Amino acid sequence: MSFLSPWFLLAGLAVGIPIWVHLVRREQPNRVPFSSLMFFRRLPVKSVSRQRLKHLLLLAIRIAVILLIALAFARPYFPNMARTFSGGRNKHVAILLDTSLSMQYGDRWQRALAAAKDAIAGLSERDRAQIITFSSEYEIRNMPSSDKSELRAILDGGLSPGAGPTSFTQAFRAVEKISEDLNRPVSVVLISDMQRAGTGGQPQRLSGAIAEFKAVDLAGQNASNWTVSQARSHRTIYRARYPDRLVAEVRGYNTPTASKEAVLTIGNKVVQRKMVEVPASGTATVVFDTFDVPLGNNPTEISITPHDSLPQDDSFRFVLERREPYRLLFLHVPGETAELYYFRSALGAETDSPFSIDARTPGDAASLRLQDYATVVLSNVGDPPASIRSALRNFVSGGRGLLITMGSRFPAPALETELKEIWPAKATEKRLLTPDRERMILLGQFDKEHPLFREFRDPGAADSLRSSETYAYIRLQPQGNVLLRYANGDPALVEKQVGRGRVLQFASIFDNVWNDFPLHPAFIPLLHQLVRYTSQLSEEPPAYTIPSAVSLSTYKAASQAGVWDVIGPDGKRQVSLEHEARPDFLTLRQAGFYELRQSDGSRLIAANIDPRESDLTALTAEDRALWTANPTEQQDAAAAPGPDAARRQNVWWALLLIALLLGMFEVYLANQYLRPQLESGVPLAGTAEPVEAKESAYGR
Amino acid sequence: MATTAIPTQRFLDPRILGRLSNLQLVAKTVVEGFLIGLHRSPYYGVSIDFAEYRPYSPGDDPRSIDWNVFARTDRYYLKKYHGETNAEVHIILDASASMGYKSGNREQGTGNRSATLTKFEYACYLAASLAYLAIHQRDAVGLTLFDTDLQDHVPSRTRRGQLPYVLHMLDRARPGKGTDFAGPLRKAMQFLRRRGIVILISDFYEAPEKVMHAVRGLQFGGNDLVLFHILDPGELQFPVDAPVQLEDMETTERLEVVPESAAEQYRSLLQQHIQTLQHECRSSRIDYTMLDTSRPLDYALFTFLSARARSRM
Repeated sequence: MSFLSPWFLLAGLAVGIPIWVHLVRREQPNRVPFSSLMFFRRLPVKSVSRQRLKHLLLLAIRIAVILLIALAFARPYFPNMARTFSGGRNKHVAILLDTSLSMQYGDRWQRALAAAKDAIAGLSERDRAQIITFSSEYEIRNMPSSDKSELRAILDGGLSPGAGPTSFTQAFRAVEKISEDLNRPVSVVLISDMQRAGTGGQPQRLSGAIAEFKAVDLAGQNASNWTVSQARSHRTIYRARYPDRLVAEVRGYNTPTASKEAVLTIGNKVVQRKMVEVPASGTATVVFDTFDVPLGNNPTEISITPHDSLPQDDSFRFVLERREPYRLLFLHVPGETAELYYFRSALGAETDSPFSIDARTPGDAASLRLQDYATVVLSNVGDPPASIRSALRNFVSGGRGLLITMGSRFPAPALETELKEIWPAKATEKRLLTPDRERMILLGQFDKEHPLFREFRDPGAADSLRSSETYAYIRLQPQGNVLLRYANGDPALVEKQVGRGRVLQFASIFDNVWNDFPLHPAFIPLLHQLVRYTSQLSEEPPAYTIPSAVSLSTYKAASQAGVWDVIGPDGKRQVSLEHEARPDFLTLRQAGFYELRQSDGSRLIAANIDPRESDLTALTAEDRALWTANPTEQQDAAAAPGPDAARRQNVWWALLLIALLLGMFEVYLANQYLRPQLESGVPLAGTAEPVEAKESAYGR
Repeated sequence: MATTAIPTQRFLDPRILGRLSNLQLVAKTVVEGFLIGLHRSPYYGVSIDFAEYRPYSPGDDPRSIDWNVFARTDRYYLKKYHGETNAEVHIILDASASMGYKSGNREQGTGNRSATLTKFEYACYLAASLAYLAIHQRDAVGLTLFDTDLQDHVPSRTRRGQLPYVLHMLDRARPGKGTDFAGPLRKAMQFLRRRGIVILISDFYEAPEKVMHAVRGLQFGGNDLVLFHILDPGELQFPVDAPVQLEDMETTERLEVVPESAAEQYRSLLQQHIQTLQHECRSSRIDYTMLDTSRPLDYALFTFLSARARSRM
């Protein structure tokens, strides 16, 4: 017999209370006034008589009642009956097999398979088992089976460790799910190298009904490992020469000091080799610079040699894409080049600027093919030529950008044109702030959460944005989203989504005449963001970490064509048939390069293993003890679920009923014992009653 | 002087007396019933009309000389009349808190007697009856109440109105505080002017030697001393078979008593106490009578009359 709440058994100590009461016979003696205790004071105090138990039957009943109540609250149950009910001592065994990357270290995988086979061999004929592989996800490999050959076939049928990181949470979740599905306790065999990183830094515990837990630790002693943990790189560059320094980090776990050769490979070509001295269990950085990048998507890899026992993490992969700069069509009024000057200066300030400006007058625009541009800037051009109006509307609707600045030539109130439906705001009047009036106005509120103002979320940066003085602007009646306002509340920057494209309208002009904004430090980052935002330049990372889910919509927008196929690092298609028509997300589970095939070419995605997986440090015994902490509770829970278990636990109910019946009998018995005592106790019920009852013959 | 069995049918049970609210009526009922019984009692001839001849002594009033006797005997004898020969009866009543005790009620027929009067009520009835009897014998009657000190005092008088005065004082009296015999009795001695009968009514909850030391002083001057030891049946029998917590009525001290072990020893100690008092009184020529409050008062009156008779010898 076991107990669900054994602590309640301590309440059984309360049996001392009736024993004590019966022993000292604390029937709470009546207080009786007595004429004098003169003779009683002379009597020796005898407690022996008090220690004689009386009314043994009553005492026995009282003790029984207390014990039964304590027993009932302790919730007894009979595990052996469980097995009887469930038809014998068959177990359900969940074999948790770690298939994380670290299992490729040395001979761990072979030992893991052997351990799994041992676990299968240890099953009795009536036991059933399931094999669950886990890394960053879990996968239940088979339905419950007692066929050992079937189970062994699963192990021999192509199971291998992947590139995912260890997650014991996933393993325990699988156990919980199995336990819930079966509605019975599960015996768990965990076969893993017990990486400390697998806990995610949080103490974890096996949940669900666990009948038995066995951990097979495959971690050997002194498992050393080097890895290229990360590399800081651009994804897209716009010149042949890599514009920056490429920095990679080489790290050793439980390693001695060692020299490693770091190799930078772009495409299939080794670009540079660097020797690096990695300190014992430390980190070193490798810097690659002054190398050229070919046009297009280039699979790039930094790897270290010689390789160690876990070569899969000896290289870091990322994508280097070189392309021509995005073209920006700057339409300006002939002769007015002040704004163009500041545009060129600001966009050219970036070392590897993604934009090249093509400045034209509106009259030249008719001969241009707008699809070659990422964004069109209408600089103080109030009414574009009729020849490009239609093309401009299609250009924006097709997903490109339009930036409008408004100066002295801009008609206010606005003219009725066929482009008015794409205009974010309607110009109502020009406001010239002369010295005899307000003189100037500052920029005021802006939407801090908008990506345009990402650089201005800090209070200091926001102040620099607001410090520019505006002397003239055009008052707008917004029809879109106001992103920036002047201090007096008038809109300064309005956005409108037109089709798939974006239109931004600035209420002034960056010419250092209507305002001094181009002279402020905030101008450059804001202009860069303006152009990037209207151009909808995607900001893809050069590499992802396994496991990651990548939204393919980013790649669709960039290429104006959908992704129609994805080829994984293993050369196999990664998109399932059901999602073939319109794959939205891609889950990266393999280390290497994924190829996104689109109608106008292909793009690459690099996936690297989780750097935490390279740390082969095993869990301490204390950490592992936490998994099965409070085993009593777990064992209790093991027997608890299921209708049979519920029936077994109903013992408490019967115990309470017996206790109730005994309690009623106790009341009757106590009355029987007590009644004669009450009668015999009367004679001494003395009173100090004087002679009040006496009527005075003389006093009244 | 022998005491023999007295027909019990005429004795008044104290429980019946307790129903009489008038103390004088109680005393009259007791005494007259008692006197009627006397004519059929072995104490026949004990008369309250007792005359005395005493040889003349120098200094005696010559008017008291009975000349007839002188004529017959040629000797001078003084003829004493009733009024002149009456004794002085002084009742000293213990009014301590312990006298307020009475044991609980009990259904009749259960075998155990228990009192419906407190010891003090019983003592008051006794004192009233004695006073009534004494007054009817033309004795001077006085009353002193005490606990730890003198509570009240009525000097002995034979005048009319003395009995109501005494009864009124008894009626007003209430059990007071603790008990002290030495101090109050020493003071009471100062009120005893003439040789007479001193009646001390108490439960004597004090060490016998202290009690005797105090009461012997009352014998000085030739007083006849009568002690009535009043006890409740509950005190005598202690019929308890369950643990009780006793509270001393005088000191309010509490003591838990387990009757199995204590009752027998208590009874033994009490009997030892009574016997000691009895023995000491006998050796000191003091009349000692132990009365439990369930006994008729007649027994007490017999005791008194015996002492009265002895005092005339």
